[in-house]
Amino acid sequence: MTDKKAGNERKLLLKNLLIYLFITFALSWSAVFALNLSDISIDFADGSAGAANFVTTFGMLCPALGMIITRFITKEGHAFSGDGSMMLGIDLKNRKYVFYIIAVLLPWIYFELGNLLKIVLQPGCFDREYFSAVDSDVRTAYIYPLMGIVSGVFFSVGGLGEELGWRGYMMPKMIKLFGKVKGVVFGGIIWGIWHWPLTYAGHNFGKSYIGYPFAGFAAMCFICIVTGILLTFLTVRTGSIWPAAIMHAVNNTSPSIIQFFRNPDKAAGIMTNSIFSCFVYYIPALIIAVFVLIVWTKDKN
Amino acid sequence: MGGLLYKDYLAVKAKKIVYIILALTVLFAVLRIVLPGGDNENSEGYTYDALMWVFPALLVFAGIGIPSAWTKALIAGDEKKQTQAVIKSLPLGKNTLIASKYIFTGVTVYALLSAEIIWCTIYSSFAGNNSFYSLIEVLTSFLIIFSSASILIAGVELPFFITIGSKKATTVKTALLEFLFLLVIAYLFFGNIDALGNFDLFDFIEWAKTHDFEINVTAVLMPVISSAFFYLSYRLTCRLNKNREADYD
Repeated sequence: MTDKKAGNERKLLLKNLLIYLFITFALSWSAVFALNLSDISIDFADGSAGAANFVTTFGMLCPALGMIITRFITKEGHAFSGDGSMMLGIDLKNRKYVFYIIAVLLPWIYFELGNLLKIVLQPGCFDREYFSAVDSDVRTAYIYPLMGIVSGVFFSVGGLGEELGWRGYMMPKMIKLFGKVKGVVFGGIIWGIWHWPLTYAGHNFGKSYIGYPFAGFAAMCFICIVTGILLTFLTVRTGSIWPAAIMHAVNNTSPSIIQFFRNPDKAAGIMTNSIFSCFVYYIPALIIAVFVLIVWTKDKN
Repeated sequence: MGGLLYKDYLAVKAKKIVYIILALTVLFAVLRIVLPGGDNENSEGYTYDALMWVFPALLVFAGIGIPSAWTKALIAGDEKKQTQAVIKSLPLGKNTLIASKYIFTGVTVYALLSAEIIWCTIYSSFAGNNSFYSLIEVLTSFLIIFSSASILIAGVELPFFITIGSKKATTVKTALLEFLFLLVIAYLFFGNIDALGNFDLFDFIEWAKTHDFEINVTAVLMPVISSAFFYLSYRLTCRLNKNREADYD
C-alpha cells in the first residue's frame, strides 16, 4: 500500500515536471524560432546582438512564466513561502545570511581563479594594456567586480526569472525523483539543453570553434551542471530562490579584474578554442561544485 | 510577514498598477519588434527611435516617484481601517509592522527597477546605432542611482509617516514640496536661466561617456549608502515607536 502510494507520488511529480518542461521549452524555443524565421537577426556572432539581447532577456523570464502556468494547470498553488511554494520568502535566521554572502562573492572568486588559471596555462596572454581595448580607464577594471555584484543584486530579475523555474520548481522535484547527485546532474543537463538555441546562435562560445555546434551544446550542459550544483545547494540550504537568483545574475556579469589583463588575441594552440578556454575558465567552479556536492551528500539533514 | 505585505499590496492598490505595467510591457515589446529603429537620420527607423525613447524614460522617472507616492497610502490605509490596532494585538514581533512597511517599499523599488531594466533592454535591443540609443544606454547606467535615490527618499519619509501619522506627515511633506517648488520658481526669476536654456541632452550623453568611471563608482556606492541609511531609518522608527501602544481612538 505504501509502495503504491509512493509510486503514485512519483508519477505525479514526474507528470508535473514534464508539464513544466514542456511549457517552458515551448515558450522559450518558439520565441527564438519565430524571430529566426523573421528578418530580425538573432546571430550573436555577426555583431548585430540587439535582437539577440531581447531573446536572452525574454528567455530568462520564460522559466518563471512556465512555472506560474504549470502551477495553474497542476493546481499546486502559488504560495510565496513554505513547503511546495515558489520559495520567494527570505529567512536570514540560523546564519542563513552566510549563504547570501556566498551567493554574492562566489562567482567573483571562481571567475578570478579561472582567469588566473588561463594566464598560468598561457603566460604570453598577460597584457598590461589590454584593459584599454575594453575600457580606456584602468580604474573601471579594478572596480568591475563590485559593479558586477551591485548590478547583479539590483538587476537580478533575469536570474530570478530562471531560478523561479529551474531551482524553485524543477530541482526540488528532480531531487525527490532521482536523489541529490543524479538530480543535479540531470537537472543541469536539462537546463543546458534549454540554452541550446542561444548556443547555436553563437551566445557564450561564438561559432568559430571546432565541433560547432555540438561541442558547444556539450559545453553548455557542463557549465549548467557545475553552476546548477552551486545554485541548487544555495536554494536548498536557505529554502529560498533569492540567493540563487542573485548568484546567477552576478555570475552572468563575469566579475573579474584579471580578465582585463588577459589578451585573448595572444592565445595560441588549444586555448584559441573557445570551448576549451571556457572549460579552463570553469575549472575552479567545478572544484568548488564537487566539494559542495560531497559535503551536501554527506549531510543527512 | 507575508500577510502584512499582502495587506499593504492591497492597500496601495498595487494589483492594478502591476497589471497596467505588465500589459504596457507586452505592448511596448510588440511595438518595438514591429517598429525597429534605424541608424540613418533620414530612415523611418530613426523616427521610431526618436518617438519611443520617451516610454522607458517616463517609466524610469515615474519609478522614482511611485514609492514615495505610496508611503502615504501605506500608513493612511492602516489608520482608516484601524488595522494597526488589530495587528498590534496579534502575537507578532514588536517591530514586525514597521519592518513590513520598509520591506514593502524595498520590494516596490526592486520591482520597478526590474520593469525599468526590461523596458530599457527592449528599447535598446531594436534601436539603431544613434543618439537616442546612447541616451537610453546612459539612462540605464543611472538606473541604480535613481533607485537608490528613491530608497533614500523613502528612508526619510517612512519615520515621519509611521511616527506622527499620515495627516501630519502629509502636511509636512506638502510644505517641503511647496518650499522646493518655491525655490525652483525663485531660480527661474533670479537665477541663471541661460544655463537651463543651453542645456543639451546630447552634450549630457557626451559628458556621461567621458565620466564613465565616476558614474560607475556612484552606482556602486549609492546602493550601499542608501541601504545603510534605509536600515538606520528602520532602527530609528522602531526606537521612536518603542513604547507606543495601539491607537484605540
